[in-house]
Amino acid sequence: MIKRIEEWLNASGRTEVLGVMRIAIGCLLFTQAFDAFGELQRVGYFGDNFHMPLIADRFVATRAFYTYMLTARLILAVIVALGIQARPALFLSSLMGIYVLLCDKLEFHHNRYALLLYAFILALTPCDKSWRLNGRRQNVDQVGPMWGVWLGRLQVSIIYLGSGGSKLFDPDWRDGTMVAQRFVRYGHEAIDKGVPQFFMDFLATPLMTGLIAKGAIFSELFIAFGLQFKRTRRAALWWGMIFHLMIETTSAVELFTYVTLVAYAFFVTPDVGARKFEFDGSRWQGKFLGRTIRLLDWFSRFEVSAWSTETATSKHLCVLTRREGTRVTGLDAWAGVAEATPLLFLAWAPTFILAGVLRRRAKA
Amino acid sequence: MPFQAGLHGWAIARASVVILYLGVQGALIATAGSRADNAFGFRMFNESSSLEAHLFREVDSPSGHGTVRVEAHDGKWRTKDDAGKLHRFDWYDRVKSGAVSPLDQNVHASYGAAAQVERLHAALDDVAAHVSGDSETRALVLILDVSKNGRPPERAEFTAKVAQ
Repeated sequence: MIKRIEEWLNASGRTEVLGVMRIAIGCLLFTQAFDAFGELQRVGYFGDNFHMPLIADRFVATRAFYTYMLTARLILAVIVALGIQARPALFLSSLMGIYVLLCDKLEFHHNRYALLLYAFILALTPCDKSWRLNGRRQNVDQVGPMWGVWLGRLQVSIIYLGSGGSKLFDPDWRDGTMVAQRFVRYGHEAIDKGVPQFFMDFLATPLMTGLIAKGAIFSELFIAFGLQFKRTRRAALWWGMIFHLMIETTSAVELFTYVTLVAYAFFVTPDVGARKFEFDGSRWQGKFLGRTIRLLDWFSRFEVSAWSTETATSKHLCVLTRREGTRVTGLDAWAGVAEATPLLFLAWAPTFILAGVLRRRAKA
Repeated sequence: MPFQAGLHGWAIARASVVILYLGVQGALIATAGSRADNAFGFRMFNESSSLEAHLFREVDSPSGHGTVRVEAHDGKWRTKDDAGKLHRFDWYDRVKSGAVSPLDQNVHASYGAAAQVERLHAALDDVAAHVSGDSETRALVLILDVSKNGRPPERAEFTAKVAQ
């Protein structure tokens, strides 16, 4: 047991995924600080108005200190994204952000807090070894300890567990009362956007609100636990994406969707170049596909190459060699590409299921 | 074998950080229910409650006995001082955060009914403490009609003495 814990704490891995995460978190930290700056310009220093500090008044940031801190957070966010002293910058950014939340809890929002926690955790990972301003894709030292990544994975699940667990123990959530009330309050907005009245009335029935509530609770708990196991991870990530896109379109949640989607990258296996994507370099379609995959392969998971016209024997445009070594074409190849490409990941489940159905039919 | 005896070097430091971090997170989540706004507990979309808040002033009764309540519509009121100079007061001169429910509107209780009640109560105390030049108002009163998840509204009332 102790040996396993020690192996887990000392495990190393490639850092390309963490580099991409660092850039994304840097951009989100910049957005957060920039919004706070806008608030400062528009409303003024929070200490001049009603505010609710969680710390003693004498420790609350003064106007000058708050302004300097916001400026520092903007600069730190930029250097996080660029990869210059990124880990100390992430650490400082998260501490300053949490300090601001303690100065005025009216500033507290789950998404802001979650972003600061992820920034803190990312500071514990070797996220500064890749995708940095100098030596962006050099492979020389792009390996580092991965224990922070495991902590990040736990943090993602903790959030779902906190949210899903609290709903599970709330009778108003379990029986659909809470969902029904949301329909009462916001249903007209959906109707204004073109959703038919009869459909909204159907959704607002006790049966449907009960089912929707139970579905939401199950979703959060499934994502919380499913993410932690290899067999269910892909499905949990895919459903999580759908879940958050639904929330993004129906509720105002500031940066929460983006923060969570970036945090999902903690679950990406750092297997650089473990898949081979070969395309027909003699056809423009093949070249286009090759370029597109290179462009979308942010996590460096593919070795992309054209097969030469002399050796080309396939009638296919592209062939994917999967991580375990099997070569696939057609829908199977696209499912394999979507599975490992963040921007295409939403297409993974439907492509994977369709490919399976077609394969079974072909066998029959 | 004791835990630390099996771990060496960096592993001990890393294990300490992991345990400390998870311990803090666990404590914050476990105690979230004790905070009105469930802060740091990740209890998203915890309620679909609504509330309506109205601000009143307690001023000396014209009869000379006791006080009467006068509603301050949209948090605004005007008084004259002893020299006859007009003073304008506005709830929103102090309460500018969008995290506090506005007055005189039936609104969704962001972060739950308890959170909004706590915030509005604290805002009332803050406004009352920062009213200066109002020699008429003895106290500010906030009346809240709070409906938790669609249930019939319950009334809450808070009073804050105005600093004279």
